[in-house]
Amino acid sequence: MKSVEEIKAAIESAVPGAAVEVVPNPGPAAQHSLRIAPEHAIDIAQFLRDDPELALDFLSNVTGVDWPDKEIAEKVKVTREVKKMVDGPDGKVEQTVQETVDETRKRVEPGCLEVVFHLYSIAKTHGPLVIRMRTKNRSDQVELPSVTPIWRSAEFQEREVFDLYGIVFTGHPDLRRILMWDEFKDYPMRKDYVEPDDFEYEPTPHDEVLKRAQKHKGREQQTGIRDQERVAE
Amino acid sequence: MLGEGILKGMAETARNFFGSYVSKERLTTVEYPEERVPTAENARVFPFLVYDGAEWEAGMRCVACQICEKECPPKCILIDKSKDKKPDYAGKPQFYPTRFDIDISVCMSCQICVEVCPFEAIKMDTQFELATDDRFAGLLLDRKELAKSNEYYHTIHPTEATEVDSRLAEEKAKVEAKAKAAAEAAAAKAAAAPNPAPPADKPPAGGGD
Amino acid sequence: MDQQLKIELGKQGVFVTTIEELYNWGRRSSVWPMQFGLACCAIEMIATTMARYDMARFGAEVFRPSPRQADLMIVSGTVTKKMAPQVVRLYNQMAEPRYVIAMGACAISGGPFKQGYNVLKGIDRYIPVDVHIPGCPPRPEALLQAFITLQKKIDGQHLTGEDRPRFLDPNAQGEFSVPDQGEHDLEPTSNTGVWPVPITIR
Repeated sequence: MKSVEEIKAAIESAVPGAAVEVVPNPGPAAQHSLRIAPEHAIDIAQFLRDDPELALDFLSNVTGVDWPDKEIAEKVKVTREVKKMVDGPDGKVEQTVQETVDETRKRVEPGCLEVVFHLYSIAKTHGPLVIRMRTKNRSDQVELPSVTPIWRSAEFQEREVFDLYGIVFTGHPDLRRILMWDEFKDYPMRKDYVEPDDFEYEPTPHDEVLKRAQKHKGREQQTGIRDQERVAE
Repeated sequence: MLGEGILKGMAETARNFFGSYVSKERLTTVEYPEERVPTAENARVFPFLVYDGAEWEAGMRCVACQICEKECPPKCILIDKSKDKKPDYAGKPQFYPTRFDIDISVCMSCQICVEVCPFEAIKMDTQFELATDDRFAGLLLDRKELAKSNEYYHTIHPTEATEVDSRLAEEKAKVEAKAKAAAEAAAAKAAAAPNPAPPADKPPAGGGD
Repeated sequence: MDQQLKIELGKQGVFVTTIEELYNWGRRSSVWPMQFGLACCAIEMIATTMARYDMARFGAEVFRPSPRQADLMIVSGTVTKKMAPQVVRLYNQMAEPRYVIAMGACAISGGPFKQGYNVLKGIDRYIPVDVHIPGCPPRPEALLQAFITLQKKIDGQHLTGEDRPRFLDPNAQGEFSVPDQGEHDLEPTSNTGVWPVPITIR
C-alpha cells in the first residue's frame, strides 16, 4: 500500500478542496493516520473505496476518542505602567514607570470528540489505513457525517460510538443506542463520566472504590441503621 | 439419497451407544462425586496463603507488601498491615498482615497475585467445591481460611513446591553466609585493633596540677 | 426415625419414609433447569450437560425453553443492566417451587467486570438466589456440587411450620419488582427486600 503521504496526495488530487493532514504516530508501530475534515468526508470515503489502487473496501473498526478540555498555563511577559514610590530629591515621590513582569495566563483549550476508522482492502489484501475525524466541540456541535452509505459495517459501529461518546452521525439509517438502553442519558466512555452509586456492598474496597463505598458506610455509621431499613422509612 | 445426513448421525449415535457396552473408552461419563477426573498439576481455582512449619500465624510467608492487592485486576484482595514485625524464614524482621481478605465472589483466577508476589507467599489452590448459599460471609475468605501449610502445597503442586523450596533455601543460605561473613569480619576487626580502653593503674599523661 | 435404623431396615428390604421425605425426594430428583445462559459460564453449563459430566444423572434431564415449565434458573454469565429487568421478568414467570443458582463470579457479584458501566453487581440484588458458585468459570464438577447442595437444601425443606418455603406460604412474596431503566442507572439499584446488605466490617 502507498505510504500515508502518498495517500494524502492522492486524496487531495481526487477530491478538490479536501483538507487532509497527516497525524504522525510516535510509537514503534509508526501507524500514521490521516485527519480529514467532515465537509468532504463522504467524497473522500467514496474515493478510498472506489480507487483501483487503494480499493479499501473493508471498514474493520470504528471507534471514538474523547479529547477533554485542556487547561493551559503559559508564562507571558507583560509590560505595564505602574505607579511607584521613587526616591526623589525631597523624599519619596509618586511616579509612573514601565514595569515588565512574568504573568501566568491560564486559558482553556476546548476539547472535541474524534472518530477513528480502520480501513483494510480485501481485494488487494493491504491495510490498515487509519482515518480520523473531529467534531467542533464536546457539548453542542457533535455532528459528523456517517459513512454507512459507503461501508455497511459502520452501521452498528457508529451506533456504538453514538451510544458511548455522544457523536451524532448525520445520514445514519438507524441511529439509536446499542449497548445501553434507550432511556440512558450519559455517555459512558467520556472522560467525565461518573459511575452511578451502586457501591452498597464492597467487601474489599481500597483506593477509588473505598471513596465511593464510604458514602454508604458513612450513612450507616451516622444513623446506626442499615440501608435496607432506611429505605422502609 | 434422501435422509442420508440423518442416517449418518444416527449411525454415529448408535456406534457410541452400543460401543459403550463393549469398549471402556466410549463410556466417557465420569460419575461425580464418586469418581473424579484427575486434575492437572497446574490446575488453579482460588489463591491461598502458604505458611511454613506447624503454626499458621507465625509461619506465614506473607509480609503485607500489598503488591498483590494493587495488581489484582478486579481488586478482590484487601490487606491490613501490622504495626510490629516478626522474623521471617531467613530471620529478618518483616511486617505481617493482620487482615488478608479475598472476595472469591469476584476472583477470576488469573494468577496475577501469584506472579507478582516476591515472597512466594500466595499460591493457587485446586479446591473448587465451594458452592454455598451464604452470599456474604461464605464468599469472603479471611486469612485463617486462606492459610494452608507448605506440606499441603507440596501435595497439590509437587514440582512447583520443590522448586520454590529450593529457591527459598538458597536465599536463606545466602543470608546466613552473609551474616556469618559479617560476624567473622567484626570478630577479626575487634581482635586486630589495639585495646581502646586504657588500663586503670596507668598514671594520666601529664599530671594535672 | 433415626437414620441408622432406616438404613438397616432398607438393607432388609423395608423402606420407611414420611410424606415430607417422599415429596422432597420427588422434587429434588427431577429439577428441570431453564435454558438460560448469558456468557462464558453458559459454555461450562453446556459442558456439564454433555457426556463427561452428565447432569442428567441428577435428574436435570431436560432443559425447558419455557420458564413456566422450569424449576431452576441457572444464571450463568454476566448480567448486564440492560438485561436485568428481563431476567427478573423471566423469574417472575417461573412457577413455584422455583430455585436460582448464581453460577460464576459475574452472576454473584459482577465478577471481574464489576467496575463496568453496564454490569449489574450480582443478580441477587433483585431475585432470591439459593446457591452461589464461585469461580471464573466454575468447573463442571463445581456446578454438579452446587446441584447436590441444592438437592440437599430441597431435602431439608419442611412442608408445614414456620420455616416452610415460599411456595407453601400464601403470604410470601411471589412476584419480585422489575427494576426500571432510569436515566443513569437501574432504579432502584437493588431490591432491599431481597438483598440484605450486611454492614461491612471495615
